Amino acid sequence: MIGDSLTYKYLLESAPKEKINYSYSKYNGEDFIDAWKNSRLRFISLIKPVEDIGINDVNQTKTEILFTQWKNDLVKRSVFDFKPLNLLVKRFEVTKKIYSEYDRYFRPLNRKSFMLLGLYVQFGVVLGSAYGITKKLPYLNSLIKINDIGCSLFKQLTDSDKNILGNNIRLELDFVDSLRANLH
Amino acid sequence: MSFKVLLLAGNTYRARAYAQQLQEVNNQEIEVFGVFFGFSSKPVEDIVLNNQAKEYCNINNILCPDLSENIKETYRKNKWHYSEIDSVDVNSEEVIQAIKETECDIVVFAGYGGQILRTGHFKVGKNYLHMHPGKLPIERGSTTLYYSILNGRNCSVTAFYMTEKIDEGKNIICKEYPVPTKGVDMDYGFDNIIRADCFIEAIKALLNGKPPFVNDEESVEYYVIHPVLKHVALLSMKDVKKDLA
Repeated sequence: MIGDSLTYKYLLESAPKEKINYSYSKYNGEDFIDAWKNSRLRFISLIKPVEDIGINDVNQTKTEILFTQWKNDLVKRSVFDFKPLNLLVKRFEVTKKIYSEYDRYFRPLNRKSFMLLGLYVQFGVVLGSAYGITKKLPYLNSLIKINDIGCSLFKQLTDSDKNILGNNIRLELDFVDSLRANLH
Repeated sequence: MSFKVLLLAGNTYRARAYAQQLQEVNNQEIEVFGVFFGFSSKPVEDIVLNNQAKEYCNINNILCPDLSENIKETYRKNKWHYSEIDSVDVNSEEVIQAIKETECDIVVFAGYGGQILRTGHFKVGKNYLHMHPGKLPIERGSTTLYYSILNGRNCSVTAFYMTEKIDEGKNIICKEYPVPTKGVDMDYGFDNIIRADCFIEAIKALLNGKPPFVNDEESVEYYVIHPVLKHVALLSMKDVKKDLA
């Protein structure tokens, strides 16, 4: 992993091929929170704003189409069925990968097709919306992990995807700050 | 007629805590047996719980286990019988056979982290008891103690009968525990302390003939907590009183 114990170390250049290991993490108090924030802010500082973070409709994968639909449907919360999203969260938490196409049970149709990096930041948008609406922690938990992958692969992202990642990071920082405020 | 408890144990702190709870209750109605597996491959460092953990147990009237005591020593002191299997695989034929051969009313699972019981166990025809560190079904999955804290709830342990599906069997009891103060180790200390306490409460409930029940609240599944959220939970815990520091 990149960095030492005083640096935010949950970034992995070989992600998502290799999984970032979150099990039995050590406790380092406020220093860890500072390290995480500084790491995220550094990535935000590297992002150049682009005028139009539009969706490229050409050659969209099925997963990208699904994420677009979910993003739009989450706005209309009353009609959003969270079960498919919850199932994809479960799959992601097990595999730490997002695939370009899934079957109805969110099993990947091609187990090699997990390197479309834009899908990770798009999933982050969905997770951010879902957590913002429901405040259910599994969405925030996955959002932070997705942002770890996005930051790990930062250099490989398009400018548009970097901007989306930046928005996801800002949401992540706000959500965690609010969570901390509510607990005190 | 005695209630026969079989501890299916890896060389873990949790198994030690469970055994010491059985020792502490010292109930003549309970007979204790053991199937220990994988001990030679899984050495574990003896640890001592800190003063904060001991104080938590004292305040909440919970047994504070001595995690430096090997479970075999606990069994030896109490003259309880156990068989030993080399394999670390809880689903190995040898483990399952050892359970089949031991007459018992309940099998209590205290295996190695991440192990899941497979079909073979559920064909043995015995009840398996497990203690999950969360309120089922609203706190299913992993690292749920932290999520309890983040959700502003007390920590909980649910004792339930295991089935092939994870965290879905009928519940025996669910007990709540106050969130500990800072300094109490969550993963090795608090988790094992409260699971062991709930375990013995479950045994008492079974001895009293309490029927199992189903909680039909909405199921929520949690996954390995991200270290950021783990730190948020731990940092939110109250400071220990100055006179304990």
